[in-house]
Amino acid sequence: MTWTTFLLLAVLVSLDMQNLASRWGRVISLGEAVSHDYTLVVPIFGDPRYFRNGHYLARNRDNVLLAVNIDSPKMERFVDELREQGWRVHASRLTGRVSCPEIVFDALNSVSTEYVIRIDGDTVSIQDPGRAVAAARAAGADLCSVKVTVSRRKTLIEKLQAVEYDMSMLGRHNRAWMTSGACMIARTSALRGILAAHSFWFPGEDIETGVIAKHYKLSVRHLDVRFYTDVPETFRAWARQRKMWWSGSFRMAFVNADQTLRFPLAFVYTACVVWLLWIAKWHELVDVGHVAAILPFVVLLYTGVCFSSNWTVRSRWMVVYPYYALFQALVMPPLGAAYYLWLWYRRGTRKPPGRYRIGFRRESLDLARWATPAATAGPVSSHPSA
Amino acid sequence: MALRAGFAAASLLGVVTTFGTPLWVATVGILIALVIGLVTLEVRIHSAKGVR
Repeated sequence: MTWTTFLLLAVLVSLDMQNLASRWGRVISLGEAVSHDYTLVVPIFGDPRYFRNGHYLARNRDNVLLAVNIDSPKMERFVDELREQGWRVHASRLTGRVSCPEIVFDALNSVSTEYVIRIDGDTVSIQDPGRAVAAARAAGADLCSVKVTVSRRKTLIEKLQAVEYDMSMLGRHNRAWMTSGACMIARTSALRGILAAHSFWFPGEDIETGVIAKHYKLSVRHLDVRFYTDVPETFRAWARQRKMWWSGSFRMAFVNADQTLRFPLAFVYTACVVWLLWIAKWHELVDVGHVAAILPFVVLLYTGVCFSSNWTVRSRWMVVYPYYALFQALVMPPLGAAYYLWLWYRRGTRKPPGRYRIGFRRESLDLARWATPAATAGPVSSHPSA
Repeated sequence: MALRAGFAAASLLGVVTTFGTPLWVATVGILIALVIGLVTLEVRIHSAKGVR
């Protein structure tokens, strides 16, 4: 029994210490070379207020394409204003529940550069994105995840998210396919092919991009360039965002379990440890006396794990991070699952939404087919969206 | 993750399962000291002309 227990402890703690292996990840480093053969595509929909990085984009205005979906007179006026200000705008008229990949896919019709950087309207970089593109090109990468970190670290919830983001980005060294919606860099032809096979389902859409790229045996790498993004400033806004994220996690773990199995470690961690052990965790918490007796030991252990396995991104806020992580792991999974089920109910179909549109057997993507913009015309409207 | 590991291991091993044991007190003491240290540092940093 004792050996079994130690083995269980070793396995579970090892899973949490995966970032120790980040130093051995095949990461693309930035060089001095700069490429100008890229387009920064910024999807904007719903409301003009989501466009917040104009001051940053203005520095590379010639490389920027604002992908705006017009679904209201307000957005129509917004597009006019942007054009008057000298921005290059791709105006889409997509209907239904629009998602970022759907808008980006449509906007790729207006892209003629070899590389594209999909970037959110609240994300910026200090380093020249041209250096990132040059590095990706030199490495022959088709899709790159990048380091997305927190731009503002004033409130407590922002500081805790900063720790969380920094730790997650270390994990990308070995799981480059976990692309972030805030920013990713791709060969344009590859992104066209990927998005043509995308479900356009919103929760978890960013990681789906990486999964499809792996499905097509593309070169998916992690590029060591840092982008800064806005994160929720308040707890309430954080909870709203996380409900969506956990819905995406549920979708990845269960609705697309057959695909997630391709990534055994990610599957074990997400489906088994996070989701299935959630029940066991609450079971432990029912007995308050038991919790009070055990919790300090657990929190101290986790604090040590945080510091030791994420030493390169260490922060004094790791002292309180375990409480944040515990709260999130206990409260958010069921809310995410409920949100997914609610979206399913609203959709009114028997088939669960958000299934990946790729098969189980890996295929090759003919990049030449997707080299020209005309190739993307058409499929957008035929894709299901929520 | 380690939270779950800790629960499982501590329960099975019978380690630190009672209030007031020296190990429990020491653990809680360390956690409190860490948080106090963090708060103190923050106060000092903010009082030093707002430098983060």
